[in-house]
Amino acid sequence: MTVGATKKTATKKPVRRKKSAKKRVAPKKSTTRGADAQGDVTENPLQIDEYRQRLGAVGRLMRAALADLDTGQPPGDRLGQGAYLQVMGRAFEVLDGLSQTVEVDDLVKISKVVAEQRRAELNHRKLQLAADLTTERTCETSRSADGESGDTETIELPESFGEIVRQIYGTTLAADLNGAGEG
Amino acid sequence: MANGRTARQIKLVRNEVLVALNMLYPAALQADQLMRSLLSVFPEMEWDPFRRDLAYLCEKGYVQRVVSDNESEPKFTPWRQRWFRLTSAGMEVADHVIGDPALDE
Repeated sequence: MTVGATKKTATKKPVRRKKSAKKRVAPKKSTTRGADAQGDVTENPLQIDEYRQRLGAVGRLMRAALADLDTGQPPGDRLGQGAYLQVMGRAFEVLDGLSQTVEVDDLVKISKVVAEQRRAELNHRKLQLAADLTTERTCETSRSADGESGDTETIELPESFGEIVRQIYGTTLAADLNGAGEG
Repeated sequence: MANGRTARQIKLVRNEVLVALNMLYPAALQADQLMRSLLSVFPEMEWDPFRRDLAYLCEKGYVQRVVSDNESEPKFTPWRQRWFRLTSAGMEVADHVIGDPALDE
């Protein structure tokens, strides 16, 4: 019996050593900035490594799933960026464990933002198409009028014309967006 | 010592902000999300010093604000709700491609 007891204690000790050995080895593997720093702010130096590993995994997931939604560099086209940021933000919160569930309110908010973005995008395209069509028609009428007199030169539109079109369609666009926001 | 924090603590937090944004690059994060995430490593971190660090990193050109098209008046967007992402210079510092004495430990 006593022999058995000593064997048990003998087998338990190496297990404890292994656990402590793992804890000591982990910080040495790290070569990233600040990972060896400890004591002042963080109680456990392992936390930084673990935190970085977790964020790395979150980053990889987000890039794999949502990178295609990126609308480009910040100074570029901002259309659709709001929806992209909202989706990315919520994805990060869930993946990083800041919030455990996606609430219905969040989904409603995100879907509203996406819908508004889509609406704005469509209105923007409509505006461009309308402006192009108006320009073409004006050019055609001026050509036919010039055809009678034999002159084929095109008449330039007044400088304020573009502004007028923008005002007309811009008002419609703003009204649509307000309607979407209220709805 | 600045606002009760040692130079070492300040560097640690600033470095970790860069590393966190680097891990998620090219995604942007809201300041509030970033701070809540960093609280798991720096449990005693407070908002005001964190905001100062973020502003500092922006002025250094390592972090830039991303203005969403949902923000009608970007100037009046609360700091917690502002989006930030790493710049190319910030990425170089986070990856140790270039060094910065103000951030090196």
